[in-house]
Amino acid sequence: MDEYVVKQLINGLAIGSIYALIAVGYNMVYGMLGLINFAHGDIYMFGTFMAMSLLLSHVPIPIAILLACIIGGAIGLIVERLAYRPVRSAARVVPMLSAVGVAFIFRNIAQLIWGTSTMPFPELFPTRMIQLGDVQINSLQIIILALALSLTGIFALIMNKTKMGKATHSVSQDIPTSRLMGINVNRTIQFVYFAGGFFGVAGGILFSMTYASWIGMGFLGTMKAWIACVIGGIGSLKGAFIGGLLLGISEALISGFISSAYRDAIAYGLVMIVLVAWPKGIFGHHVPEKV
Amino acid sequence: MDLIRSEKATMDFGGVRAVDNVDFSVRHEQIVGIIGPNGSGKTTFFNILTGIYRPTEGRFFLEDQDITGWPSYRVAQAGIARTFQNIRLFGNMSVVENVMVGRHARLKATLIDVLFRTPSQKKDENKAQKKAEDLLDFVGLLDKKEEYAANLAYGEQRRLELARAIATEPKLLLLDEPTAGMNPNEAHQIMELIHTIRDTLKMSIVLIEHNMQVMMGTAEWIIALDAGAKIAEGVPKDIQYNKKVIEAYLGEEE
Amino acid sequence: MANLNKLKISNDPKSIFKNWRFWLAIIGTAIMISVPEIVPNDYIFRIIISVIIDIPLALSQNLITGFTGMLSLGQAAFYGIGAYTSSLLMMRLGVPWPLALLLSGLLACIFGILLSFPCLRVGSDYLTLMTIGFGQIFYIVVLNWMDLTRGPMGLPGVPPPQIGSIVFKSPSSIYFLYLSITGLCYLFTHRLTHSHVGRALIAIRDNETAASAMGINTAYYKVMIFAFGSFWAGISGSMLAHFLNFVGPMTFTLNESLLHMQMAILGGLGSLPGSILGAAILVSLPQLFKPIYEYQLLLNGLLMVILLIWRPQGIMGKSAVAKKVGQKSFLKQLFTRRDEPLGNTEATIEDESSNVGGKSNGSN
Repeated sequence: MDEYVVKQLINGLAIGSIYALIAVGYNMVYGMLGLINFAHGDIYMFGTFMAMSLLLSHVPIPIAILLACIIGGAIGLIVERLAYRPVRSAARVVPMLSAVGVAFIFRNIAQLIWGTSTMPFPELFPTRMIQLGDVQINSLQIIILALALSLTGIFALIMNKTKMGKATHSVSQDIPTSRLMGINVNRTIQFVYFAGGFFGVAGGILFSMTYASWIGMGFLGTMKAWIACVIGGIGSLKGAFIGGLLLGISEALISGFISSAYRDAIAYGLVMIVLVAWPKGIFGHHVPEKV
Repeated sequence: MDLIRSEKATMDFGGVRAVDNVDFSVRHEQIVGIIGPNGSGKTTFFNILTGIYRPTEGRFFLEDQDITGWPSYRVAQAGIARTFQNIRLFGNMSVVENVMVGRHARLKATLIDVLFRTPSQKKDENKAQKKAEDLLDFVGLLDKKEEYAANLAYGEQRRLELARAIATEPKLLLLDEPTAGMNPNEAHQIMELIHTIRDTLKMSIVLIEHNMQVMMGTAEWIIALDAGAKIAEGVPKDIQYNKKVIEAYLGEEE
Repeated sequence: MANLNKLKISNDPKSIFKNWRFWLAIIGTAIMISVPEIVPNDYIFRIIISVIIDIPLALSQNLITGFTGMLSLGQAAFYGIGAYTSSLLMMRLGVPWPLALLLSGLLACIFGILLSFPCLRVGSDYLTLMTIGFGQIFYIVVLNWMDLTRGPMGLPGVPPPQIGSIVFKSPSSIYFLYLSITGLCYLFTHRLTHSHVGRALIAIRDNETAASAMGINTAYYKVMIFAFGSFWAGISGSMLAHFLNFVGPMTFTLNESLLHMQMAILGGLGSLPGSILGAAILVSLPQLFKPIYEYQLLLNGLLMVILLIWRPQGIMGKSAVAKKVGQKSFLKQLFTRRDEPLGNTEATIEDESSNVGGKSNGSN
């Protein structure tokens, strides 16, 4: 029994670290700007497929991945320009729905280019099973966890140490004041969308390495990211990361001990309870206003 | 018996005490004023009286009923109406519809009446519309009744808010800076309106005002707040020369 | 909305003939009655019936989002609850159709009420997420509860509507039957919105604090409109099931809820005839232009983006307010951010407490 629990925990941690990375990217727009970015998942889906195409065309691995992430960021910029900026003065709903529109557009384009079937992600490096006591782990899972951690770390550094990162914190608190302080708000928002897309694609690639790629994974990712952010606390990078891990672990435990078919339903149910009982999440400090 | 009474009303926001142990009472058909520098807790007092916030300590009584902690819709239904410092009209509705919203609490029609358009519902609606139009006439806005509320001039919007509040048939009317931003002429009109309201409609009125001329000319009794606490109360003449009041205003940072 | 009695017969009985609305009603009714004769083929007829089935969904969405300002994206769940309930009641328990129809609406209504309670306690963003969550839960449960719903295989063989010994099998009969049901929905919705209830809803949307201060029990109205909306969504579901003679989970996804939202927005939030138009356009276009099936999402997405940027008030939404004082359009005013107050109606109550305790963070 113990062994089973450990195995589930490790699985949970592995998938959780992927969720964490996707959530960190998602939290950029959601946490900073208060907008539910419905396009997030489809952006990284598109970027992941791009990565796949590049890799299959024998572009060197690091370049392919970097390029794909940059493309993801670029698409994020497009979303910002098309779906967010023209309707900025209206609050959440309008940009939220126009983001859905952009998501649909990219999803359809992806469908036309790559078709609707599920595709495995090309193997980037050999993996093997490692024995840890009684439990067997796939080295891929360890690598992914490590990558997710380091990428998030890099991300945190950017947010806390660079000028742009600090500007983002300021803008997320108060736009008029930030403007008064000389911060280029438009540029900062663009950065937020770019970073969100960039890191989202990174997460998406890791996701596809573990599972596979299919067009619908985008929406799925958006939902997971949103749940992770709610649990961890909206607006908090730490929160998004920890929320992702917790989500992964909870899913694994629910799947292993209760039911794997209803896993997502139970997860949503728990999230709804969290929303009512602990709206701030674990690390959150920014409670959205009551209607 | 007092119309309304507060006992040691207190409101804390986090570490800040916005209203500090205020004892306050208003008699029937009385006009009372509340003055005080910015941030002295006047509007917050209105907010806890009308149920927008729950007071941290203290009690409120409407006649002999304890209304402490009642939600704001219940306070309104019980007979306390208010206007807001920053006008809160329903911009996408017409002027007459705004006032008709004020009639909401006094309408008798139920959901079934509405869905089946029973004769009693139709009568209710017609009565509500008539009453709204009468009130618009009273405040001088009848000719604008089909206009969108958002399109009215500032002074007209204030009068509309007044009409809407009166439409609820309150026993007590709370006015939060009703003449803010008005020129002396408009302010004078409002002043007269307030007197007429009290005389013909028999309601008590409490008003918050920064315009001292309006306040002295309208209120029969004034309480002065500073930093959430009551520092003085009395007839206008006494308040005008009260040392503590003068200090409070002089000490206010502009 | 202020013109309560547009069709009122004035002192001169003959003047009704000058009223364009009267003629529109006459012509409209004539067209509706003769549809079975006019329609060129069965395919188009079925599209018309599909539109009729979706109209209550668009109206519900309009009521909840357009009139009351609550961004619910969970309508598809109530649609589905209605569809499955109606089918299962008839097929497994032999319940007669009229009762099955009513019960499916009622069950959807009950779930709507249940969902609305927690939604009352959370902010506007979270409300959307709660409704999405509910929709997802419904979908997953229906997909996996094999014993009840047969999961992804769905329930084939759902019987057509039947009153007594009359079976409504032909498109014509279903057309008139469903037209009556949808017509009833529209009638009730119209009466609701053109009454003090409608005013209360709009008041809640435009300025909840002020609405409360006028004696409106906002919690009651929010629950009530959720109940009303989900009831009719359930009825729509029942209509769908007995028309297609099949129920399957794929119909009741978030995309479906988004579609209902689009119908309400396209037609114009706050406009009831607009919802009919929105439903008509968004249901019939994909069906009429089959070759574009592959590009469906793309076109839908483009439509959404363009609509929201260029004409957020939809086809029939009011823009009159916007034109006059340079204020933003109906929809933008509806959804304005708090840090950029619009006119006078958007200031928060914290502003009025005169900066007590420093800058407010928006939480009460």
